[in-house]
Amino acid sequence: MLIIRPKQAGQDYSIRWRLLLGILLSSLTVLIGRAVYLQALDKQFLKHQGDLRHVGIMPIPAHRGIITDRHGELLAVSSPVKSLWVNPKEFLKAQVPAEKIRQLATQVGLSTDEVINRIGNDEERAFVYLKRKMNPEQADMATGLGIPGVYAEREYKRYYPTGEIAAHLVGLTNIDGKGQEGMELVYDNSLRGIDGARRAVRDGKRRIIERTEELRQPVPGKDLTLSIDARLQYIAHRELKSAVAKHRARAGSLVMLDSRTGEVLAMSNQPAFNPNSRGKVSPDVSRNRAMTDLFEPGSTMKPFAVACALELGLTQPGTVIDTNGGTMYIGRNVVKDVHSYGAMDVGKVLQKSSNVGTSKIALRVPPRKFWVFYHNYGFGQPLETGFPGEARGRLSDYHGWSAFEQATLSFGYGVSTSPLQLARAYTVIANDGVMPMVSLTRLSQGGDAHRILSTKTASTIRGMLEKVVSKEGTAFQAAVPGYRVAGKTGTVKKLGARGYTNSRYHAVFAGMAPASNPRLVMVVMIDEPSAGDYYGGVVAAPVFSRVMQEALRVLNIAPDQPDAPLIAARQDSPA
Amino acid sequence: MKYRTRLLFSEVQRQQQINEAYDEELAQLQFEQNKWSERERIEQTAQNKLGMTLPEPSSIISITP
Repeated sequence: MLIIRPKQAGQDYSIRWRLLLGILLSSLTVLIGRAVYLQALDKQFLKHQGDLRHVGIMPIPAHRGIITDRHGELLAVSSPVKSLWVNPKEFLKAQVPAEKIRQLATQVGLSTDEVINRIGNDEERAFVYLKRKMNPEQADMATGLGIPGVYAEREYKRYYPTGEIAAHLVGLTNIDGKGQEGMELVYDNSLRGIDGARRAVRDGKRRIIERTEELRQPVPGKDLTLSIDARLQYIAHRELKSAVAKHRARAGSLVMLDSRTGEVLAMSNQPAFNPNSRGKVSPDVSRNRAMTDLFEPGSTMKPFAVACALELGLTQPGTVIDTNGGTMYIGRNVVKDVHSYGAMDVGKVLQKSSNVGTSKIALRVPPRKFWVFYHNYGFGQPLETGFPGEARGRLSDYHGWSAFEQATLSFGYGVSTSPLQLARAYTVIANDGVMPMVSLTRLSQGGDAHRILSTKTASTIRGMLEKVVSKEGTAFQAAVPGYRVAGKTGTVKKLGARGYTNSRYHAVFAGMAPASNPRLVMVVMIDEPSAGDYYGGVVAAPVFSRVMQEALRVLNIAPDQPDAPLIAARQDSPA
Repeated sequence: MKYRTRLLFSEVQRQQQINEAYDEELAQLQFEQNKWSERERIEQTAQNKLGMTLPEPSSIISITP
């Protein structure tokens, strides 16, 4: 039988009591021990943890290098601005009165609702940009309102003083100051510099209360000097823009090279965009067509085909070519001229821009040699400027050529080139047979150059191209008073969905001045002029003339026309 | 020692702020200069306000040395 006895009062609990005491004492020892350890033995740990919460490393933005033209005129510059940001956590806690929000909104140029929307109502967020890159004075006034949680941060904004004039070449940066397009992208690494770092102490509200030390000084980016001359660039832009508008063209490009050094002195495109307005720019507008777009050069190619034959001694300048009344059969294909001319010498073939004559001359050259010449002029060859989207053009291999293909190549169909590539090829004629490498940056000394033609051939062709810019030639409107000009027109049918069209053209002019000793080479290309005129000699040549005239004056190049303006001048009565 | 460090540091800070202010002013002035020296503006002023034109080729005398 089991007997249950009730517990008696005054029973001995001492064992339990001691156990409890022991536990308490030992936990106390552990705690004291830990405290002693942290405070006296391992001081670093707590300090580190504290620093993690209160010391932050802040970047100091580096100054991005400036971009200038060849004479130091500013094309892109970073100026200090301030970005206004809000810590919503503090802002929302402070219950800012509506009146203050309204004042803030006026300072940043937004409506009150937009400000409230932007800040949001997420109390966990600690950072929201209110307005980026604003006038420093306005930003200071906004922070001066004393609204909790509103701060200003120093940044740089990229500014392009010349606006759309050099926009395609110079390019753009994005809002974080990184190169996006053009030279800003090509030279981003050297322009950018290295951000510095600064240690700062923040209080419990994450406000910066002390800037302790600069860990790293920011390294400013390197400046970049382009090869273009802002004065010539402006003239080119102005004339191209008015020509594209006047002829209601789809687009246009203009390239001007220093024929001796290969430096690009001006490069302009239409349509253009303003790099200072941060709207969305479509690639159709932002493309640097002079380098990225290809077209068939048409008749502007003829001097090169003729030069091959002359260089190899397969034709003499005086050789008479019968153009058969402007029609020539090659196999089943026909080459036609716009007008029929009969027999004429080589110079006349270029002057009248006869397709038949040029084909006859070109077909005397073996395909392999013909291909080598075209290749050496740089067709289908990269420009090696590093420019984003730079096109290299297309020149097919001579193995597949038929006689007809070689003939079409001689008058510039079946081969594609960018305006800059065409200009580079013309430096061969301008520079007595030597082709310099193209450069987008200013060169301190002459760059690489290669001899493509003999001096004799180059100057013979130049003489023939001078005759093109005459009353009897196709490009009389390219003439510049007081100077001798050499050049060639091109009116190129565009390739449509069903072969070459008869309604859409490229009007092209490529030329150089002064012809006695060329300094400047220029290519003008107008895409789809649709106001009636479409001939290269009528649409593109006048642009060449106007830009060249001013460029020669600005660069102080002496006139070489033997005509004596002296006598005419003497008759002027003094004003 | 610590006191001197703080003093010097605050002096550095002050100078940096002055420097920043000058930077900002420089940028403003550059903007202004740019605005006034825009080629288009100069061209317009020369043509419309001052009545200037480019000389005709016939009224240019070139002197050969």
